Amino acid sequence: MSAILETRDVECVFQVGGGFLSKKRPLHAVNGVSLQVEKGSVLGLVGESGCGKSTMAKMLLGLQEPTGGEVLFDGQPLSAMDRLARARRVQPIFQDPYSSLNPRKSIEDIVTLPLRVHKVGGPAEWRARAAEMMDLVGLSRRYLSSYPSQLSGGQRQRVAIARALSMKPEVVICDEPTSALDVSVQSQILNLLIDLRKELGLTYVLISHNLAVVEHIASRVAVMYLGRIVEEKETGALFGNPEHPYTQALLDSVLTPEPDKSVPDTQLGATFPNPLDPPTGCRFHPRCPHVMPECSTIPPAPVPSGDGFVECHLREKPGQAAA
Amino acid sequence: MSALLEVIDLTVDIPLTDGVLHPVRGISFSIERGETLCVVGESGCGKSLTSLAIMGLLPKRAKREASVLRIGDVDISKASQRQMANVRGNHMAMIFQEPMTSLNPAYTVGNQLEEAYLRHRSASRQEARERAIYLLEKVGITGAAERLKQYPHQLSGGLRQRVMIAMALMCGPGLIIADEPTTALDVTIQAQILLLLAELQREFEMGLLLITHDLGVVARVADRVAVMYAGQIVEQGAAKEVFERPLHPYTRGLMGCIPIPGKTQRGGHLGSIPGLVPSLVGDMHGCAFRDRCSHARASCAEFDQLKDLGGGRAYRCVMSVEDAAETARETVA
Repeated sequence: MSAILETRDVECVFQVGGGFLSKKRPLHAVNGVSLQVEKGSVLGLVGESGCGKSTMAKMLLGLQEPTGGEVLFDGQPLSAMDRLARARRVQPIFQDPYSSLNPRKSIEDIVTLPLRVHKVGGPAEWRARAAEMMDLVGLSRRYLSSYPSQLSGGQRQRVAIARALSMKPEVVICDEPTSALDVSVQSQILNLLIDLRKELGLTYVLISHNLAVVEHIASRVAVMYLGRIVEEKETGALFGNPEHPYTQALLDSVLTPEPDKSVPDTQLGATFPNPLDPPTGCRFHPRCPHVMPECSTIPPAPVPSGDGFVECHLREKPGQAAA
Repeated sequence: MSALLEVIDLTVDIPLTDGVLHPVRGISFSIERGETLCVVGESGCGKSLTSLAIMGLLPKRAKREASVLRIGDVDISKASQRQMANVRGNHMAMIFQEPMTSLNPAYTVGNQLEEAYLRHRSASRQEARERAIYLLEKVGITGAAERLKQYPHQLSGGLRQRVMIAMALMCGPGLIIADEPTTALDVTIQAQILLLLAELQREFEMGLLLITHDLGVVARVADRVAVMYAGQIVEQGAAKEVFERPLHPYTRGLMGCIPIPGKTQRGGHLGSIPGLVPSLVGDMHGCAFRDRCSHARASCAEFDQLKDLGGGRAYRCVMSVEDAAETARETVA
């Protein structure tokens, strides 16, 4: 098996609420997700806020223990791995480069911290590696003695990337890596991520709400809705022929800079359901334009489609495909 | 023809300890009734301060100057705070980016909706309430009468932004200024809110000044576009014109940065703009973009003039229209 990262039916349930005299209620942030990430590929994870994408990221990083199912890294359960061993192979890049870098540490300290934690080499090697990482991410070495506050957003995100790559991890989990950046800077960071993957043979899990960005770099895309993957497929197939009504609506909502088109009317109700009280049956049915009677009672099972799957009652009955 | 909003030579200066910051440097534009002007640019280009300057909501130490600043028949360039208070919310209203921080968490939605109406119209509470319910229904909120009693935290982000829009419409203003109204929202909700804004604008024949960094939003809703860079308008014109035939290298650069599904080659390199935005502190000469421009020449250090091509089309670049079109072809090829 060439899947470097795999989740088997993982679940993550948080107990929330529980004020005075009121009982805690379970919130299913992730509800039975099975995914496989091939070595050297890029898996894009998309969905609206609150769908569980960031909880997924935390579980893939081992920062959040799944309450059910398991995460496998190279065939080994992630939970059985030592914290340091795990951190050596899986690293994160977070959304906001303003809060993910320690403002009191110099850039050199930030970039070499993983080396010091893992007790690799001595000061001379750390300095050499820091310089090497700066070259890799396209930052001038003179910034090594600077502090995060002296850098722009794009430069900080480069520092975050340098830090993530300093231990030469195999998998990088990018949680909205460009959402906080301006478009011209976003393209620089995306180009850098593309180059680094080719150069170092990295595997990415790219979490983003920007579908154009996901389409651009992901090899496969998983669409998440209320804690479940509703469609997962090769990127070209997913964008060319979205099957789940939610995927269709998401793709329709993408505003590309084409002045001949107007604002799309997605026909989705405005309200994202309350995850504490998810709809019965198919979780998407209250917003679905193709809703059928069984949708409100029976949760759909994954149906193989192309090289991936889709979870929708429409797909279970051939011949009733949505337009 | 007299435009709804007319701005000529608007500048904003903010004195800092190490010099004077010039975030807005001589901006001129106008908006007709029923027209949408999008101001697009990256962070720090002065687009938000432009809108705050028009609303008279600049920080105290900022200095605003303009040779003309007029909304309808009210000259606001010299208006006092008291006069501005009569204009704001009444003739023009603003929708901010973050609906959570722009609604007061301690008051009900109804309270906040009615406030402006009671302030500007000599109306009874009952009339204000009816108007609020009417507008909440207009912006697509069901159970409007119940919603009036709710607090902002009880609403989702999309609903809050709808409330903000309803609030802006309370006094039937001629002009709506929306500063990144959909940036904090999910893509599906973004499309709904933009659609709603466009419909309401048509129905009430309002002018819309939409400030955004998202070229996708601009392309879909704008009649006209103004591209801002370093406190100046570097290119403006009809949206279709600007997207199909961008004349300023910065506009072209911005457009090259965005991946478009089905058009950009997957996994290929995106365009990028090297370098950083120049500091806007102290005196500035010449083209502000020249340090990042691949077509920069010696004369750029002197050049600083908006070339008017007529019909609202203008650009601020030393290159002739023909040269600009030529370099555009090269970049595409």
